[in-house]
Amino acid sequence: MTIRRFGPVFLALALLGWATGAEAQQRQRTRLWIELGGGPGVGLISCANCDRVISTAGASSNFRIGGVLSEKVLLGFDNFTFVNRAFGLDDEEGNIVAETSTAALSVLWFPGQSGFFAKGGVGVAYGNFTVDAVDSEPLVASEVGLGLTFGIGYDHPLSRRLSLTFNAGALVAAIGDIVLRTGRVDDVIASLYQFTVGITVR
Amino acid sequence: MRRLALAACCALLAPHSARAQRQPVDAVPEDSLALQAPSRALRGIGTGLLVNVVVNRFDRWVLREDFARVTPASWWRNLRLGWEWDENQFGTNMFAHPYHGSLYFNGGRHNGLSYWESIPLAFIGSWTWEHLGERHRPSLNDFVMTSFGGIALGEIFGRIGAGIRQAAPGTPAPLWRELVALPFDPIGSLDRLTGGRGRRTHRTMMAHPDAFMLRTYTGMRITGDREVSDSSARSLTALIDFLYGDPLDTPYTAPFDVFAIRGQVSSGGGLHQLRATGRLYGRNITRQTARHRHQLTVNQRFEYIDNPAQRYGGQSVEVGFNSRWRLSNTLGVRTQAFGNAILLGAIDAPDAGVGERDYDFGPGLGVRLEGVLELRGLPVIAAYAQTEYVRSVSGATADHLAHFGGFEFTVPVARDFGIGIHTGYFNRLSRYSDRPDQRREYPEVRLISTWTLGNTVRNAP
Repeated sequence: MTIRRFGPVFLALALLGWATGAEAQQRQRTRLWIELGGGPGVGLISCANCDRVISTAGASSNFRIGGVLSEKVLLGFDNFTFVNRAFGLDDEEGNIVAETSTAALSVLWFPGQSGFFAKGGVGVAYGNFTVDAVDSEPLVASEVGLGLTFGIGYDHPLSRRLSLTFNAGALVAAIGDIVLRTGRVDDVIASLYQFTVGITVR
Repeated sequence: MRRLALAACCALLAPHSARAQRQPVDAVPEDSLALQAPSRALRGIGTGLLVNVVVNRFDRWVLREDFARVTPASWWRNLRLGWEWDENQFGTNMFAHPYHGSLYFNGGRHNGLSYWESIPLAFIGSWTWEHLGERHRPSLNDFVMTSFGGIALGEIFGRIGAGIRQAAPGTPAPLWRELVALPFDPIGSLDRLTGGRGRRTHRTMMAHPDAFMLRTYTGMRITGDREVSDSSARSLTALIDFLYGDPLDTPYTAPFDVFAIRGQVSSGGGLHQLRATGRLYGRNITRQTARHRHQLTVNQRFEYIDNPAQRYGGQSVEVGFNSRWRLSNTLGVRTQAFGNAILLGAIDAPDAGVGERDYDFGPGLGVRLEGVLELRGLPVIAAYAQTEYVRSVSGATADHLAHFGGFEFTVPVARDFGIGIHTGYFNRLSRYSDRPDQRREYPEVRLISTWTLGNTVRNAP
């Protein structure tokens, strides 16, 4: 999912949402709800004893499904992905495709009557690093670890069952050691800051 | 002496009044509901941020700590570079940080937010401290331990603080009660000192169950370290079990309406066990009046274990069943069977850690089984076993298996007094990717006397 591809759709939905939102009801997430979104992300990869932190932009998406715990608190299951094709964990390595994905149990808190919410969650993170090579098979390194997510968002109602959802959040994937050709990269932490626009259906 | 101790315990921990004791379990007195003021989320967040400012300035101006010399440049650097794992000592990471997190969490609870609504405040407080309160790069393990540990300790300590104060919202508590409650719940004390007097404390934190129990075990502890020949050692030991509510008799109303704490200290070893379990959710799957009772339960757990075989600590959530099997009018068996997910655990091993840190961090899974034979509601024979698997994501490339188990036999001598023999067994197996496995075992035997204190004991089977 890229911004170029879906950006106009999100923009059109945003404009439509503001035009019709005043007449729609405020609470969009009741009972079972599903949210799907996408947008740009900035990824940071750090490791123990590394000289520098690698940062780069990429595309990210999120899928969330959940239910209601109380009037102001929702419980959801999040899935985030982030892909970038130009990571360099090591200067001697070639082009690296980095994919991180996290499945997390999240709590969404709506402090007031508006659609503003804060979220936080914890779950399982998966990191996959594919290192291109000219004269050999690509090296694939995968690890599973701890995933965290937290951030803020806003639901803007479009209709009784549909809302436009804006998210600004962080995703942290602590996936341990990655073994590359040039050696072991210790205690890798991939952090993603993402800004997504999506649709929530209930 | 016994009456004095019993009276002291009852005075400290009993529900607000005799009237409160007769009310339904975990019910809230009507007057406190009437005084419940609207919640103030922003003030709750502000309380956490104020805690950060005060702690940072204390560290800088009083303790002259360099890490507290923060500037906009250090803030920007921390935001730009992101997370790392730190190398703090085990006790700092596993106990001091969760206690710090409890202040953020209770900033929400004492401003009218529910347990669930206060969770983001623990994360906001911890995130801002990690990025803005220290010059060091933000530490991911601190963030997790402060947030999740702060939630568990905050709710438990807040409820204990409310029980010690015994003051309805809007009414003052005697000074000595405030002083005793202060270390448990500093934010609650701050609220009361600044005129709030608990008016905005969320009603679930003020509620108390009918039944709670404080059981003390004191005596001699004999330990052996199988890695070291002739390592048998003797020490004095004291162990405390505090049970707040009853998993089967207390109807589920709010998170932590039932919790249990076990702590153990020994001469020469200090604190080497602190385990807390709080019920997040419970659903009866049998009738309240059924002969055999079963409940599906979700618990949040906090653990801190320190002995020569393993230092283990972690935050976890477990799902399983609490059961009570009635054998006769006076005899029954309680069982617990739970599986858990470790959000973040820490465990030491000879080849673990990185830099100055000698232990690994990682998520994991575990199981816990427990069976207790009860006579008139008091445990006579207890057996328990727990296994935790920790996959290291910081430190050595390793998988750790930690086992705890034990068998406890207690003979009631009088209604509240007994003697007994307890055994405990700790075992750790560490599997490394690049070196041989490493195992260590640490058995212990305790010869103890028990004293059960509190206003009521758990219901007989």
